[in-house]
Amino acid sequence: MDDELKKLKNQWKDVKSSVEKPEIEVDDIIEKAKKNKKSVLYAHYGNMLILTLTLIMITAFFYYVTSFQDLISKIGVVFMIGGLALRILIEWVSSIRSKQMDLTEHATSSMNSLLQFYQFRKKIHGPVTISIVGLYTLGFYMLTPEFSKYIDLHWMIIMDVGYVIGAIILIIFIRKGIKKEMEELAEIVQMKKELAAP
Amino acid sequence: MNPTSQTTFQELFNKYQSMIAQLCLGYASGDHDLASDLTQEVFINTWNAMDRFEGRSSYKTWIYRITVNTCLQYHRKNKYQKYVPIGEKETGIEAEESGQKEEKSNDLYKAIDQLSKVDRLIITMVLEELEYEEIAQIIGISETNLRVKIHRIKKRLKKLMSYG
Repeated sequence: MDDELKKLKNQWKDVKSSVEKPEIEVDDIIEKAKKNKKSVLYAHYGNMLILTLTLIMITAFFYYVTSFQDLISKIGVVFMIGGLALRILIEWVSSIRSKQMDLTEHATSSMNSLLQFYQFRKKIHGPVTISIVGLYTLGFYMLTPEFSKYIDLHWMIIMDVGYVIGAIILIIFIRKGIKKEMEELAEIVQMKKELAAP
Repeated sequence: MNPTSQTTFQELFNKYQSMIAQLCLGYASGDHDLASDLTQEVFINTWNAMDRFEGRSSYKTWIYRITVNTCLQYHRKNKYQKYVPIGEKETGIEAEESGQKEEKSNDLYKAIDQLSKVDRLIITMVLEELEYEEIAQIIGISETNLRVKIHRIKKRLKKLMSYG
């Protein structure tokens, strides 16, 4: 062994001998692991459940309450429901892919899986999210001609402006989330480079 | 989880806790709080993966893989955690050990802190005297590539510690 490494190892041993053992109890770990598992499950399925309930409520509302007659309105309904259904499908695929990541594999392989997952998320955030929001918005505005036959103009204006405001708030939140995920992606790419570099 | 796995987990915990804590401390560049959080996270991940152990590697290699992956992916989840620079924080070592030892440990941790995340883990495993073959299996690179990396890290550390 070369002297440099020997020196470092001796120094490390000095540091080690002065380090206190962390106070972690095995029962606490098991308890926390069980709690974590539950909260991850709730987070995964809770989101999908909320979206599915929204889909059911919107479908029921359009079917039983509004019963649109015009073809353009019916297409609009299909666009809105289709956009939401597509969103649920993506959420489901995303949850399956996130479960496929394995921390027991070697670091290079684990980093590859993580990178693939984030690249998938990047694709979702790009054209797919834009298409879903676009489809939903288009669907919504396709309903307005038939709505305007039964609703006063000022209510129509409130509805349309309200949608725009809601969409802007939603876009701000989505953008924030995307920005964070893309920063994480850049960090993963960097770590993968470090792993591969000699 | 079956009772056998639970017993195995307890055995793993007792056997490897100190080693894992040490690796986490190296990765955290001497930040005891972060190292403790990381150690906990490693064992939570180990518990969750217990049913997936297939015996293709030793338990030691397996648990080290989980540790390395947990460390590398930890900051992703806890990005906005506040870090206290080594020189400014008060640790148990500073309170108890002699000035010389304290200075030495700080120098080493300060130098490790300047390395990249991957290099920090590699050098800590080297200092923990893991076999190169084992480290290569944990990281997933060839032994030759690992030797080149270690050589580069040593040079960097030497430079950092002499000018630090």
